[in-house]
Amino acid sequence: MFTCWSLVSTMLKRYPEIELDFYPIDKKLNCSYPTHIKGDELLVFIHYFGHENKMKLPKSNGVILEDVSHSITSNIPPKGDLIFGSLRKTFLIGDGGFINSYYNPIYEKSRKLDTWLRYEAHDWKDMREAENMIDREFQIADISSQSLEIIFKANFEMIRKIRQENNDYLNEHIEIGHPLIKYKKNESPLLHNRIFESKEVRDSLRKYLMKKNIFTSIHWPTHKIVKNSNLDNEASIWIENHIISIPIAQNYNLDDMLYISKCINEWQKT
Amino acid sequence: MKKEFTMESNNDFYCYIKSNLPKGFKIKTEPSKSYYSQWKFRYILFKENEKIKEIKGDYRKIKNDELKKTASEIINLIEVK
Repeated sequence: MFTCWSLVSTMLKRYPEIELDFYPIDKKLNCSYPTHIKGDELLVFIHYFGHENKMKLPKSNGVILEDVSHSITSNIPPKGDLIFGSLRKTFLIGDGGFINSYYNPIYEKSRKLDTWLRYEAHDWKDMREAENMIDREFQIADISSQSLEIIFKANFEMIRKIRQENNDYLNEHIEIGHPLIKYKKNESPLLHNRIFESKEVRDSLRKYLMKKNIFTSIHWPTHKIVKNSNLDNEASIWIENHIISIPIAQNYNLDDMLYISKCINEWQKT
Repeated sequence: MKKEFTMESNNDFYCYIKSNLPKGFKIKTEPSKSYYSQWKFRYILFKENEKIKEIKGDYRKIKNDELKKTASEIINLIEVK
């Protein structure tokens, strides 16, 4: 129910024969899994935004897939049958993903222009264009050598430390709203997610931050098939309408966090 | 104008133009800020910071190789200028 729109979209496009079903979450991201996973079923769970998902997994005769896209640099013991994830979000690279199992695909022809564009990008617009390109058309392709080099050189502990410091700074200095998640010492926050009293307040702040060259996002816009379903999607939609995701990645420092918190606190006074 | 690669599909348009523009020219994308808007596009071509062309539309509504043709037109325009 609460997942990245592109994951749903990819499943619909690439694997239309697989029937999708969704489980609800509550406003604190607690998941209500089905009670049992049958032999021909597969359950995906996520460590949302780098925070350990401690919900008890159901009994399973099928496969439990653990999505660690947000938590690669968090120290969380794995508990799924298989672990997979995107590498882009944490390592700020142009492409790449993994699964901890034998996987030997026949790659499809790709010139990886979206990856090229990400490495050429100077602003969020080019990054968005690259994202749009891959949403329009994508191939199963190997990771680029540039991205591989960045991952090989990545210092996981350093990444975790910087992200924690940036997130702690915003926790301490932003005077409005409240953080969605309280992180533990072993966890590496993906973003500083903050909840605001209403959609209007949130949208007004986002607009203001955009003028100050601070690009924020929303995690996540609910996919239309979830929105139109009869399932209990109340909490997902509530989060979508109240959240702001503020960047705290390792390429930002405390001066950047000072600027962000100052702008947010200034907006409050306008 | 040096062409580093050929355009194979409409989806290559922005990268194709961006990678091949000579000095003094630039192309900017103005993607929609709303979600689920990956099909909508708006590209602006500049010469010395002056807007010379705007291309906008919806990738779902493009007929055949429409953007490939537009790319050729832009190249001609630049070469003439």
